[in-house]
Amino acid sequence: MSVVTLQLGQCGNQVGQELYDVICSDAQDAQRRTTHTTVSCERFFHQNKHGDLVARAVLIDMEPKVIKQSMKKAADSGRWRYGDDSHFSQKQGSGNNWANGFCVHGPRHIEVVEELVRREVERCDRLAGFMTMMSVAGGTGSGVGTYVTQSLRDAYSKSFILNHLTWPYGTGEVIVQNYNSVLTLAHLYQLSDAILVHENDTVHRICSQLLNIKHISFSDVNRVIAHQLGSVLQPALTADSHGVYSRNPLGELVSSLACHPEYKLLSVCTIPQMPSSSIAYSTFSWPGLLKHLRQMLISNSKMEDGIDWQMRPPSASERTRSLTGASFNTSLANLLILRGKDVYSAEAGGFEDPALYTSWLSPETAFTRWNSPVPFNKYEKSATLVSNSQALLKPLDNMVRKAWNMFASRAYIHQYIRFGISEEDFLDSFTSVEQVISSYTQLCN
Amino acid sequence: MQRRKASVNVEVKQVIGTLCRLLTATGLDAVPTPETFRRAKFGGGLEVEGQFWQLLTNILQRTGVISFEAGGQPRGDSEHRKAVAAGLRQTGCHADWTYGRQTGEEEEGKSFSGRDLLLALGWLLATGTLEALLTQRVQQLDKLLLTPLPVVSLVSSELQFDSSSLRRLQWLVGCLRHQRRILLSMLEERTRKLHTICSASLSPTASSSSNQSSTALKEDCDRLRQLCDLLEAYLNWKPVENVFWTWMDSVMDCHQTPSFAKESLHTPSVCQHNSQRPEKCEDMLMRLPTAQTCRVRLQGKGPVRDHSYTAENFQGSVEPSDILPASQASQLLLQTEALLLQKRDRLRLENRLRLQEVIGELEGLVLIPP
Amino acid sequence: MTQSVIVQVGQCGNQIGCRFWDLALREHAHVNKRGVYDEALSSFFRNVDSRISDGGACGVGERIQHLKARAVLVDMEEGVVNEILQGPLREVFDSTQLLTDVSGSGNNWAVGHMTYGSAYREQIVDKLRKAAEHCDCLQCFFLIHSMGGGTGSGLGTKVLKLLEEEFPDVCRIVTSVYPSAEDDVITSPYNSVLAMKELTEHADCVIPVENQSLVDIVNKIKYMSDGGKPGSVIKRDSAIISGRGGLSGAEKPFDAMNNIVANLLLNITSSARFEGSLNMDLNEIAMNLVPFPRLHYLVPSLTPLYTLADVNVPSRRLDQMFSDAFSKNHQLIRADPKHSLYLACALMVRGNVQVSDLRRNIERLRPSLPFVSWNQEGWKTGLCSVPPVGHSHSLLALANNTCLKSTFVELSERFTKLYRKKAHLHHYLHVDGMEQSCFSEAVTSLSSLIEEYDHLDATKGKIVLDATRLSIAT
Repeated sequence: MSVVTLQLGQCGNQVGQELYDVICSDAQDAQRRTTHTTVSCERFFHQNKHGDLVARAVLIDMEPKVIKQSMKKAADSGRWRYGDDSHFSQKQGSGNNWANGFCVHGPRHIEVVEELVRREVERCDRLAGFMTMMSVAGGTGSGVGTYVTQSLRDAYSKSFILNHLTWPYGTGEVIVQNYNSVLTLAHLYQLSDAILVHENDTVHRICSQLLNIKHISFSDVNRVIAHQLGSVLQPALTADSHGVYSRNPLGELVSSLACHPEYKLLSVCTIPQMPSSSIAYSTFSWPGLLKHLRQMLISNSKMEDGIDWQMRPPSASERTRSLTGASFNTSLANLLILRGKDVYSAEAGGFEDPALYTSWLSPETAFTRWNSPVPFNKYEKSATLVSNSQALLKPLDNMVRKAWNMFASRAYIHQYIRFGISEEDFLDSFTSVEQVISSYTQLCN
Repeated sequence: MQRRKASVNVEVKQVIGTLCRLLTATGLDAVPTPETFRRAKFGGGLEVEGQFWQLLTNILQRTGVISFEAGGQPRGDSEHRKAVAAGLRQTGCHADWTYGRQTGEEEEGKSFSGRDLLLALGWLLATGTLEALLTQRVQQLDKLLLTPLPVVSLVSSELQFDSSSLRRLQWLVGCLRHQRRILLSMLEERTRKLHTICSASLSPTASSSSNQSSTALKEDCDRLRQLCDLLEAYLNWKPVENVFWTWMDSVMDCHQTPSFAKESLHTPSVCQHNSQRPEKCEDMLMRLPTAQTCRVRLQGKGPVRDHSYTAENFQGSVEPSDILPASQASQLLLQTEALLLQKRDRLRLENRLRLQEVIGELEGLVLIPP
Repeated sequence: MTQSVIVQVGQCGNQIGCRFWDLALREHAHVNKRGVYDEALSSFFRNVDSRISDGGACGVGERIQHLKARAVLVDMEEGVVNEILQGPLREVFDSTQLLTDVSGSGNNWAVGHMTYGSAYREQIVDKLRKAAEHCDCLQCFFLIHSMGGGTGSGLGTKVLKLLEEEFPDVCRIVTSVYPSAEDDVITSPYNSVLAMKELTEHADCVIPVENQSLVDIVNKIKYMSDGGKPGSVIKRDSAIISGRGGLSGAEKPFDAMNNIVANLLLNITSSARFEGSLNMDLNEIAMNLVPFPRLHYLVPSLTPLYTLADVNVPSRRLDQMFSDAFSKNHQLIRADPKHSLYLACALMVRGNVQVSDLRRNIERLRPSLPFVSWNQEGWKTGLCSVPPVGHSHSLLALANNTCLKSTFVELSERFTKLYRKKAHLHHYLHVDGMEQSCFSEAVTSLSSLIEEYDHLDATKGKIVLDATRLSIAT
């Protein structure tokens, strides 16, 4: 089944380009089995009349520079390209203003965008769903992205919609980023099936500490995000698929992780991640990888470095949690994706411990495992964990705290009112996001 | 009057025909004809009995109640029938002939006929065997149907109305929704494929390379047609079911000796169902469709006692009353339900009022309605 | 790609504008070697085929025929504009973009604003519309003027008002040159305060620049290049102060100073013109830096101001650039932001700088910079990959900081000193449409602006608790 992606704004268009690049180079690796390649290609590409792989993507931005750049990069790769007429851009950006994107640009251009999406959908024999890629900080990704998601929900009510969000650096990329984030999350929570989040801060640390990159560029950051996304989305075998690669990757992802309407935030961690020059000199064992990954999960560290090995699942009597300080990361549901050699020998019992999960969901329901004997992206063995847990609680709480402080002084509000977002709208959004925080806080009770 | 009766007879025959088609569609071999049913009502004969023995065997085998070894055939007719009788007892059918083996009922002769077997079939159908067969068959035919979720059974037993159960329930509902969407998209995909095949098979230039895949697709197609037939048969059966049960009532009436019922009450120590608490039993029975046996087993006990026939007046009556006791039971249940609903609404209202009071006292609190 | 129009009013505005066009041409000539009219060029220039009588425009992607500046030049004397028309830049302007008079405004705001404002209103609007019609997506008007004189200050703010009336959706960024305390125009405090009211009400952003700061910077650079520091030699082709390499040959007085302001404008627009890994569009400036509509005055600082010939360790030099942006020596207006309160701050970086360099320096500088309690992480960042000519990288910092209050207080005091004596007041009051109330309203507007800054300053150093969050009923 195929996935149509929508790349929105500068961030979405850059991350999307890297994602297709990772997937394409992984799928075309000569040693790979052909069914895997076929499934992967059908999932993300179609072939044009010259036989080129063309990404099933719609590129949307309110200014032309980034799209032009991404399309050029794709064409230069020689392996795949974007469709010649599957992009839409305007001349003037949304100016970091969610309201401008959501209330002005979104409604103004939705018909063109819907038409592009429709064309892309018609190219799919079998549509699994949509993945939108965008940042929450700026105006186009967040504002137009939210509006487009809304129209997708209306037009394709049966299809799955996964929103991939990039959360900005904590210390400012855009000053109104917390406002834009709160408005985006509050709206998407009603529309999306699941929201997969990457935090720039975390990814930046991975670049510097695991990949040893000295001068980290946005391209480095985006490549790590793409690698993690790719390891989730490439074909894998589910427990009941009887050797057939999962039919509906988005549907199965969503129904194993995000069935409860109050819990839709997913985070990802992948192991191992290292400079490509070191891969050849490293060997991995499944028990070692999974032990690390499990500790990364419960201590909520997104990297192998700096794992708190002291962290243990709490006993039933000590299940409390404060927002500050290190504490046990309670999960609602986890999806473990293992790829590579001897994958079936890997023992993942550590993830079926009831102490890892909230009291009201049994590990049999909460834990899912996918396997693929085909290695991913040059790693002989790799493990990815997609987790619906308290991992994003702290950054989310920080985001709302900062936005609320700003809102208490009514700073910048006039910029939003100009485009039709009132103080009431802000209050509504704050309320919904506080509700999300409250729900996740209660997971450990 | 005469005409009405005739038309009723025709109707009954049609209805039994519907049942037969349904049974055949569920994959059972050697389903008797409606005429055989009619003959069984009046005792039948050895040939009729033989057909019904075969049918009962097939049903019990298919539902996994009894099984014969790999050899397939039982060692002899009597052994075979013993196994079927035991199987029937296992399903809760405790007619005395099922115990009769030891006393050598074949010599007694008079108490056993095709009617007994027909009643046993009625019992099986009334206790949900039909639905079980149907489900089995659907699963066989529909390859794309997902395996049923094990969690479903989890709910009914453990569900309590605390917040974690509620959350679990919300999760499960969400899960079902997602599954539904996955199924829908699969269905859509399949429809599109079928369409492609249909339009391709119309074109005369079907290449030989596609032969292999087309056999598979033909099989697929065939299965789909069978599935449609099955579902259609079930749909035809459902609305006319009542006619059949009324007819079964008349079969019961013909059954002059009510030993079928008596015996079952006499042997509580052997029968596991009877050893259970009577309320439980009735509860279970009341959930059955309008079943003949239900009436029998309810005698002397439970809330529907006043409305049901006692063994004595049952014996005496030639025509069954228009009102079936089970339907009265359901009426009673409806009344109770209405009462409970009223009570629930009252409690809800009280709770809401109390909640509003509490909220009124708390300032700065934002309540998000669920 | 969007376009911007530069509106230069008065002697100062036109002198700075003239330097801007010179440097802009040089920058694009440096980046665009193929001679093709590209989108970057189109943001400030039209490509006109002069063979076609009506000046038919050529589209993006065609060869450069004849570049015309997207500009409107207004002055009430002829001197400066005539000089431009006789100079090397004459080719980029044509007569339809010019508006001049002969008699000047006599350093009187009222003459510029009221007399010329009403006399030339139609003509100004007409020229602005023409300039706007040549753009397919007009994003921004840049107004360049001075505060002290009559034309720039009076007519300049009148033009600003007209822009708001005619193009309410187009961003208005004003570069205002503030007079030094020892200004030779006696009435400059009047003119400045009267103009301030208009700027506060009608501009989206104001970037104040002070003559004295520019003089200081130029002097410091001269001192350095004369061998102030042993071993360090300043490259002569540095874009910041040198006019060399451009179209104009000999340097005129003020050219060095005006170059600095012209560079400021080039750097502000760089991210909108060239590509980068983190674009910063012009409409993002006001969105991020203006938390309250009236507080839209931004302190600019520019680094590096000169290129040393010796080669230091690049990353140290890079970090030094970030430190410099927060030192007084690199500000284009005298003020003390580090001892006041930051409301928001933008870092617009050009050249080979990565996001990790940005993060590292923000983390490093943050502790020394006081930010308002509700905007502790008030950083807006942009990365443009094309550096200015002659540099490997550059940084423009725009800070919304309460330190400007002192500049405004000083101005207000100088105004009061004059106003108390009613000095020169009659020159203003006999101008048609000018009334005494204009003065009192202007001074009230200024003091309320100062009050707003005061109000924010008062929160400085206090521990401000987080606002009580919404609680959720569970």
